[in-house]
Amino acid sequence: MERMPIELFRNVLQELDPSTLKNVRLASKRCAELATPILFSVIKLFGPGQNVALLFEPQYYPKRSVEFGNLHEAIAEILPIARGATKLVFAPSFYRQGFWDDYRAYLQEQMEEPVDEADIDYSEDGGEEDEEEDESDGETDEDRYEARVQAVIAKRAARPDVERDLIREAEEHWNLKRQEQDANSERIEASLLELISCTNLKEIELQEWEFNGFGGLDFESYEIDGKRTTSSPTAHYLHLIASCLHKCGRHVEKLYVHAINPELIQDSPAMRFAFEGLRHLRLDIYHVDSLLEDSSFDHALPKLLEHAGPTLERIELVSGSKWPQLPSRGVRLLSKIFNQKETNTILSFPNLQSFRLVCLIVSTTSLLEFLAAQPKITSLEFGYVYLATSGMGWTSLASALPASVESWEISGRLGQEPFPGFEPPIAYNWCADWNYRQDPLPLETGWKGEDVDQARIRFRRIGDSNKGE
Amino acid sequence: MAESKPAQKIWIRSNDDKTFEIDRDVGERSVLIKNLLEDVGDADLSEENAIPIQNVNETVLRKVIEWCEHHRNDPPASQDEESDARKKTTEIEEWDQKFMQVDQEMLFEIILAANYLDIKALLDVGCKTVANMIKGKSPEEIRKTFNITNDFSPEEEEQIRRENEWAEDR
Repeated sequence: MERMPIELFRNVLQELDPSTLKNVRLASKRCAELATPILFSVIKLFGPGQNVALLFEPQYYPKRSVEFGNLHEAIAEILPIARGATKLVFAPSFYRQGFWDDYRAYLQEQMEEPVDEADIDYSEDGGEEDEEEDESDGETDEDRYEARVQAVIAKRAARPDVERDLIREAEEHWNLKRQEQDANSERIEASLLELISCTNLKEIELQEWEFNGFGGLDFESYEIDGKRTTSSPTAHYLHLIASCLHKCGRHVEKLYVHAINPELIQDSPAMRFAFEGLRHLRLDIYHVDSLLEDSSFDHALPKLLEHAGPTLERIELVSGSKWPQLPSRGVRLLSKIFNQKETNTILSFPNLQSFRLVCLIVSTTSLLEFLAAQPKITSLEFGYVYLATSGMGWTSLASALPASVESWEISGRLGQEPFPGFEPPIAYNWCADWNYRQDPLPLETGWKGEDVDQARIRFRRIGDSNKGE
Repeated sequence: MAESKPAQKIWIRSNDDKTFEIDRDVGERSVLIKNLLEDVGDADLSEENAIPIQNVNETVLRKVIEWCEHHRNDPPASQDEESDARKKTTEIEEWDQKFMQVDQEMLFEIILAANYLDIKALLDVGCKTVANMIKGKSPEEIRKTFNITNDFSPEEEEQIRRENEWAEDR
């Protein structure tokens, strides 16, 4: 094997899983040299506990974890092995401002939440098996159930007091970590710049640190982070990484930002530079009130998207939080982030081929206007999308899709047609559900759906259905 | 249906001077041979004027021809399919598995020949076969299988182990 040309040896190594590649690195210096860029083609920086918080595929996470405040120390260790990296997944632990205010607000909100079956503790009174015996006391099933519900409510109400000391200690510890982040900010940026300069990154993914519990308190971080409005670690990372890309004159092709409040995305020469050359942009956004019809918020995104305009081939706009969750009220307009501010015209991306929209109650008109402005758009994906323009449901959308669209896919729950007489603010089910299997599109739309799998349906133009089979 | 024409013959010669007569479509599994045939032109094809395959000896060339004959009717793989297949699996179809049951020296010779002759599908099968020989083995077993000398000092080895902890854990 040693006499195999390097290129062929690389072909072999490409076929191997990470754990075998680690063993190959240990075989000899030459093996290590060749296996390193393959094993570390993706650099993953995750905060402590992320692998515990996300129990699925725990092997996805490296053993070593990274705190944002000590990023420079981690990068110093990584630099020798990172030179062949083409992708960076960035999710170190970040101790954001306001976390404990959000935690206290979360405890208050918990008191108002209805009690779920899953919240009820059946263990304390010996479980359900004893229920028949207890009938003799004159206590009914309903009485017992109600007692358990009351116990949950009482426990929730007591939490702020019970946890007071733990919260104080946790907050103190958290603040020390924040101070460390601030004190090291220059070193952190310099090291990140060095990492980006020495690699050939094509793809950057910015994620939030997810963890279970802190300082003896039992919670899941996403429940608390769902409350935040003014602080977003991924927005901070985005601006920081944009600054590094700008300083070292590097562009990337794919940018995927998780959990970002679009209001926190800022315009700057560095951000414009970072958007230049993007071929694929995915933004997972939360707190989408600034896309409401009546919002006057002035987004930076249109200006930034203009800079990505010539190269963008795919855009994914995913709203909701960790799981699909529609906004509780109001109709969103795509024009809020896809319209040029000065002229109020829709941005046209000359090479945009695919567009994915997830979890939004959206104005049908605004969606169609956006699509009509894209000359090469060929494929679309919609999941948990509610078309909220009266009289313009999925049939109207299908009939009006641009001629360039060859296929489109739907998944998850979908809706259309707001119920007459209901006005926002009101729960999201003010639109009727649309189930394609029960209510297929009329043939006149020119589209026919086929199951891709249980969860997805793909529509092709009637007459084109055999294409690409 | 049009009547199938008798297969056109071509001649190729190994670097130890053994000439093989093969069907043209078999030879054209090799991009190198295909390109050379286009350069030579049909009029100049003859046993005496056999295409020299400079880097491959008789034994290996015979083996490569056997593979090309078995796969002569394979549809060309699209770019997408190829990249998907690479990502997904190191599975090898049964006939190819048996074909690759050769000693290690021959296996590497086949891979080198497939690379030189530009037969991508054979190269892939060869690389996957070697990959399967490595999979699941400890560093020591990898060294033993491929006769590799451990040239690390204990400190260097420890450093590699520490670095490995930055990779995903599967």
